[in-house]
Amino acid sequence: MIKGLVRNIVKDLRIEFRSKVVISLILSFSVIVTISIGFASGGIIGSPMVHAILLWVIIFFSGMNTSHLFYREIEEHTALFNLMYYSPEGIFVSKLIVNCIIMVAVAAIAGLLYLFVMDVSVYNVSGFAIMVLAGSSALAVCTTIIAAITALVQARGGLFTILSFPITLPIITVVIKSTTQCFSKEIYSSWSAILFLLAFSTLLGVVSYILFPYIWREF
Amino acid sequence: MFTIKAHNISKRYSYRLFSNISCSVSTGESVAIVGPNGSGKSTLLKILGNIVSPDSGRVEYFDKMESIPAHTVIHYAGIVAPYIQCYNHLTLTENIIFAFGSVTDDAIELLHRLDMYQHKDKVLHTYSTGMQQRCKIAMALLKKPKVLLLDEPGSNLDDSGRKILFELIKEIQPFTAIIMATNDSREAKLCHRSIVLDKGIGA
Amino acid sequence: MVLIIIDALLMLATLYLIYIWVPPAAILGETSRIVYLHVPLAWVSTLAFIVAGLASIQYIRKNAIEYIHCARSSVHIGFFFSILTVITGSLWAKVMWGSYWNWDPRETSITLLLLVYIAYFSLHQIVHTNPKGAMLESVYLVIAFVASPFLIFVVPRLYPSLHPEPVINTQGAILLDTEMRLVLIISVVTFTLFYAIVLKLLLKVYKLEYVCTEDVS
Repeated sequence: MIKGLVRNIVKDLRIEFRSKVVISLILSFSVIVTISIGFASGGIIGSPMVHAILLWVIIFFSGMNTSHLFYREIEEHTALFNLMYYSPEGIFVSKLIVNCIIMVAVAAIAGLLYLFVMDVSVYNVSGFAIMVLAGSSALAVCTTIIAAITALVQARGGLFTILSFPITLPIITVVIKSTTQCFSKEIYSSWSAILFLLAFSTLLGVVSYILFPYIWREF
Repeated sequence: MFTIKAHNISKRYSYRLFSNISCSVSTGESVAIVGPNGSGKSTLLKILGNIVSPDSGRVEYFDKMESIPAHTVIHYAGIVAPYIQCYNHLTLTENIIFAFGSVTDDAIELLHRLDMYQHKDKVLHTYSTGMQQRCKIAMALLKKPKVLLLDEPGSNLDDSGRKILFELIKEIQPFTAIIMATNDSREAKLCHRSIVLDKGIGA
Repeated sequence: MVLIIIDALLMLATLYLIYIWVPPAAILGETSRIVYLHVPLAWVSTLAFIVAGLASIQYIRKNAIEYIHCARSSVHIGFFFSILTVITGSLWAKVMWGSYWNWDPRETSITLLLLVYIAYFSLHQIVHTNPKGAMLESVYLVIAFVASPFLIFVVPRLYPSLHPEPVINTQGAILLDTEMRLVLIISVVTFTLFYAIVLKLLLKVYKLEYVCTEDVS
């Protein structure tokens, strides 16, 4: 199973780097939106909470393009080809890991760019880094199966966002609160937030792992 | 010994495709599904391979006389069909390494026979449709499947490709259960028997 | 038929109890009567969601069409009741707290339920003709079922809320008077029975539709 996971992960990353569809979509979106916000606000927003909200809105909506990981398998008729060699559970875990890698990378880039463009002071750098890592991973874990559902109905556009938003609201609430503390001079402890994110994403990850084979079989 | 047994399977989309079809295929046997366009050949093939569920009836699968769960059948199967493609952004070598871990001597030999060895390091989306069909045949046969599902396997192949395909099917026949959906009488003749679908009835 | 008559009578009795029999709460006054509608509506919204989630789990396990009909019916009813909950809650919020919407955690949690319902309907619209549609809807409902308690049940208890814990009584203590408790329980039972009746009717409609579709084909 581990060999299968590694081969699937390598395959997906290789295809993404060659086709550059997901990466360019996500990066373009996050860069354009961040700079647009900078232009519109003149760099003056002020409140740590508003900065936290804007940052996570950018990361969340950038992440809504990762449904292409599954969409490509359906469009290019490779889903059954993959199933011939690997189990649905293995395929799900590999997609989840690739989704996490892409989301963390995008969140890191979007985060750094946002801090630079909006000139935001971070009073707790390690806490901020941990929250970006944990929050983006949690978002990726929770939305992977939604991406599969959206790909199976071949619905581009807003369906992925509509389906994901209620599910990810607990994560967004917690990370915005924690990030606000990082941007302000409040005493900050990330442990409760991290524990919540870990618990929530583990629960949803396990349930998604159990349910994925039921949807990823007839094409 | 691998066996597929279908009992009274029926399928309908917006119209009734076929009903009450029963058949059995075992290792060493080959069945051709023939019929006019739209008669449900590909659908019957998909049902027998557990790619699609029937509306009624059941399909049973046995490996070495023991029943196996239907959802595991695809792992025993090699499939060549229009609705299955290899990864177009990878080379043939990368596709083989993805599926099997490494390029073995068997793989090299098969690629030579299919006249694909010299193209193995080119990305698949640069291939013609005939070359892509040869890739699919290679990937299915390298798996040494217990059941081979072929849906119009000779489509897009030139005469030499078709000749190699027929040779490969004859070589693998004693070791595999083969089910082929085809319009081509030359392909159908490779099989021991046929299921003829016509106006929703199989014979 | 008997159940419908019983529930109709119960509904009339409940309305009588709410608007005539039960005394108004201290401090809150006559506006407190909306609680006897608002709380049962919120309860039925949540119950409908739970039933839809459990029915979806059963559909995934057994692949029997009755379960997806149950889930879909329950979602329809739950959506309707959620809207009523928001309306009654907003009306009471305007009287009690001065504005229709205050971002109180419990107001927000019912909104989350509404969001899940809306998302489900969006998915249903797209997949209902898809042979895999029922399975996709079920999987989504199960995911939402697992995720939602974190916001519906956990978060409202973590943050301070404007919603009163049972506070409506003549002494202003955090307890319900016997009369008020009785009326609330009767109201909850009436609305739950109403939900069960409507669910049963909708299941019959779905079954008839399904049988007719099978016959035509």
